[in-house]
Amino acid sequence: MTAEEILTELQASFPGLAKSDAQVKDYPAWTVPAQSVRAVCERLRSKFSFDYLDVITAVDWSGQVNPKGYPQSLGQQGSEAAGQPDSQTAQPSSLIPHPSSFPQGRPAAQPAGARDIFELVYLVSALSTGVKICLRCEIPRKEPAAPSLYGIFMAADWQEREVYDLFGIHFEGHPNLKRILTPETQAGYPLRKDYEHVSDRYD
Amino acid sequence: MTQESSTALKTGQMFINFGPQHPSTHGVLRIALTVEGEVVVKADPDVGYLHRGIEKLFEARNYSQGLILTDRLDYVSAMPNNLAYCLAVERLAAVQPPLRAQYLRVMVSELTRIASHLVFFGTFSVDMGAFTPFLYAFREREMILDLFEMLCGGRLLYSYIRVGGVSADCPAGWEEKCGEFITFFKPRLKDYDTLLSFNPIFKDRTANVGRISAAQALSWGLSGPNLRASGPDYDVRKAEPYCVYDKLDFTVPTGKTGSCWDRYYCRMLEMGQSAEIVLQCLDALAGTACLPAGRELPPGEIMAKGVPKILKPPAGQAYAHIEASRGDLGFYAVSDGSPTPYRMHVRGPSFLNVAILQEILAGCKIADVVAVLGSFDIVLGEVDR
Repeated sequence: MTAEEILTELQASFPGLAKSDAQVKDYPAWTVPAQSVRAVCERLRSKFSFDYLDVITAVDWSGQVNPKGYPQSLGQQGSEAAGQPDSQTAQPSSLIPHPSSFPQGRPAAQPAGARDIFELVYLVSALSTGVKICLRCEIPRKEPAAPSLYGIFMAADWQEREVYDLFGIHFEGHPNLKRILTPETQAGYPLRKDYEHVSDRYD
Repeated sequence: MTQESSTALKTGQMFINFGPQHPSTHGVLRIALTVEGEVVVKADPDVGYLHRGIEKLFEARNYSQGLILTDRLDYVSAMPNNLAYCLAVERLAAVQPPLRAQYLRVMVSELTRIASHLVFFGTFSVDMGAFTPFLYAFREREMILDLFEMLCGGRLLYSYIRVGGVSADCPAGWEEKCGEFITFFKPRLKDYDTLLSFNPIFKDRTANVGRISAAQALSWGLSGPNLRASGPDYDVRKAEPYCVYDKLDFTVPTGKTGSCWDRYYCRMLEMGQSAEIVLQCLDALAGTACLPAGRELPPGEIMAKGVPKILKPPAGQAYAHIEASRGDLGFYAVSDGSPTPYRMHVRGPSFLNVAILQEILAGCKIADVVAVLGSFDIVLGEVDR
């Protein structure tokens, strides 16, 4: 059964499911409303023998990365480039190039395509038939939440914890949703584009 | 990283921190164990001690600078990391590397697989109390590292595979040296079997320990030899052939019971298959293998034409994954048309391989924790990223 046929069959029960116009190269991509992610995956697993969850990850579409998300000296350099010179703390010579120092760097203003959403990306595959599908699910950046896939695919356990840790997206129904990669003292969610690094004793 | 309290224990239970500074955790992994006598009641693997924020660092570098970060993911087998990253970026930018570069890529990936599995063979045997195999393993690994040093100058972190091709063609005499190594190496696999694989003490310590069913392995997203030891023959090289794997002849070894010994032996068999693949690639480079009509692999043609120094792929998303030494390594790349990636996600196989420990360690004996953990062959650089 091809991905097309599966989509038509599923669309009968899940009207929100649609083909995504932003394709992930080589993989059929569908958009799915957040509330039906779990139900769609359950159906894919039970009826279409999708037995393997490759990836859960997220993308923050709110625009370019905040220079303050990088350690102090770089952040200062970045704000200077953005038009707020701070001659006392700026360290112009740094070994690591800053995004703003790259040729044709990102414009200072929000790019036209910036939207106030997180996008969750799921890659599921049926190993027996070789069909692989990318599910894309948009959720608001304010109080972001999505149903957990824990129990359907156990691979979701740590991957959802990772997304929670780095993006602050809450997965409803996950029994052990706590930070996994960063320490519990971590403030904020590092992979958000507006993340600001707070200096701690390791800087 | 999480904190674990030892206050919620019942009478007769004991709380043990296994790691993070423990030689058999192969890095900085902590497993919070609750034990009752010799039996593990609850195991909670705790990762993040090596977290460097690599996914964030990608967003501040351009595509060629990002390549050096990938070396530092799975530092025991860096070549496949380069490869997966380059495949993802090439997919974004629609770059097609020349055929010769693709053969070189496959060859170095397979040599890395041998080198990486040799580290596993050596360290796993030390974990199980046998010191001798370690010395043999590192003798052979040294030869592969010498080959890589001739090829690109690096012995641990290579950055050899670049977006659009590879950084250098084989130097004079490299192919002969590589062929000599394979000739030397293939009979060594029999030595390893005599040394360790069928040693009764070793088999007692590993067979029937830490068994994982096929359904469990799939659900937890295991990949690589850890998955195949449980039965499923999922190998990205066969399922979604990349580079020239569809032109090469090799088999995918699988296990039956999913025990520690099966995971171990899958890797031993894989090394033999990798050696065969390297030989086929050498033949192709020398022009003796049957290539498609009119196709030759002219020396020096190792880079796709017209790949700019500052790459600006058109806006879009791409996912590329490969069969790295430890399993299914994937890169999810998002571009917004600028010179830096908008988002780069790494699917590290070891990250998912560690997660299953919480399920299978419960009920094990304490001594078996080392055997189970060793048999997974994790690299913490890839788990923590």
